[in-house]
Amino acid sequence: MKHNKEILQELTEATLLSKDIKLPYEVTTDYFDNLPPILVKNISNGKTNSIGNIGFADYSVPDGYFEGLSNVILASAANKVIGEELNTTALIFNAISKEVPYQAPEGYFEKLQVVIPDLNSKVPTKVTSISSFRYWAQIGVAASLVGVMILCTTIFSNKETKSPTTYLSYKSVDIKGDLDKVSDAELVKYLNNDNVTANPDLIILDDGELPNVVEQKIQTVSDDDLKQYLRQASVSKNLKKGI
Amino acid sequence: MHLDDKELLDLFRNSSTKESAFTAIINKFQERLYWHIRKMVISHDDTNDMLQNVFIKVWKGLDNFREDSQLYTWLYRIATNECLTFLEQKKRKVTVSFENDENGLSNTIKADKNFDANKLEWKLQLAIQTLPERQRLVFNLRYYDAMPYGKMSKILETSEGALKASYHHAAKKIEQYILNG
Repeated sequence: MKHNKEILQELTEATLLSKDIKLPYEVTTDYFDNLPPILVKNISNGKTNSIGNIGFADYSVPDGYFEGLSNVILASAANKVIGEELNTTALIFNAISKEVPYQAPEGYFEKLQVVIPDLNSKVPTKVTSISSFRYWAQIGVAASLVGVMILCTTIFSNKETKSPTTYLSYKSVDIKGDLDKVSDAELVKYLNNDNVTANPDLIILDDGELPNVVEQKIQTVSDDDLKQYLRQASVSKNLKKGI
Repeated sequence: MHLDDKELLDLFRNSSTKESAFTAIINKFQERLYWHIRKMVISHDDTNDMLQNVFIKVWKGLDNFREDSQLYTWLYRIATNECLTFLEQKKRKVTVSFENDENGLSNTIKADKNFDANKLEWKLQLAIQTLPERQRLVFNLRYYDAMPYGKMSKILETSEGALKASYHHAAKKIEQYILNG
């Protein structure tokens, strides 16, 4: 409380209220003396709507000021929003002027002329620049190189890609039907001459892959012949083993 | 004072006032389109060529403009497509000729007679060139042209959400580039 009293005392001593108050503004000499007759004159002339009509000053605004005012206000509001947007994103933009540092040549916009094309012209003019020819030539060379690379790849990888095709075509062959078309004489001749079928030990087949022709041939052999064959086979095996 | 879009289009569709309307359209939009393109391709000469192409396309296509969007949105769209096509072609040209031109646009910036590596405005331009093309477009349209996301969405045919995210990422990347550079 004591402290507050001291502050109040200080303010009372220092306050301007105890001295003459003088504002920094000034009016012209005799302003107030001349004001009433001027006002009366203006009222009698019907000029009652603005202080500008009193006659102390002629105010004016630039041409088109009011027409463009809304755009100026909108642009300023947009700039404010954009400024605030960047304040939350990147503070560095506060330190950078928004002016583009590039310059257009002097008088460029006054002199700019656009050559209007003649749309009625029936002969189109084709301009082929050297740079575009060079561009397409380079494209052509690059395309040829790519083509050669693809061709080489196809040729050298051909063996690998061929086998599944062969296997599939093999699976789709109707062996039984095809063999029926072959005469017995041709079949016997083939079986006797063919290296693989003539040496059954060389045939390596999984279960179920045994060609029907072998089964058919076995069925035609009598039991006695089979027993004799097996006996001979076992004898020859024993001989090979040295038994 | 420039005529409004509706008046310009009416005049353009009248054969007797077509050319004067076209001149008025050029006068009204040339600066905005120039700077939109220039910020993307940097070089004045390239910008000039592209601006000519844009206005030739406008001349050929304005009769078919259906007024579904504002004229300036349509013009920005043409200019934007021109920019993307040009940059794509430039990139392809560099790839085919095996030139080491990864920093082509940055080099063009550095070659500008007013370039000053110590000024933040130039650093910002270098940082913008590190962004992917579409992100660069989004950043320029938002930061320099103060374009609302709704309008941008029509020009770039991208959702507003994606544009906001893109702008956010672009600002972050630019900040990182400037702070680390």
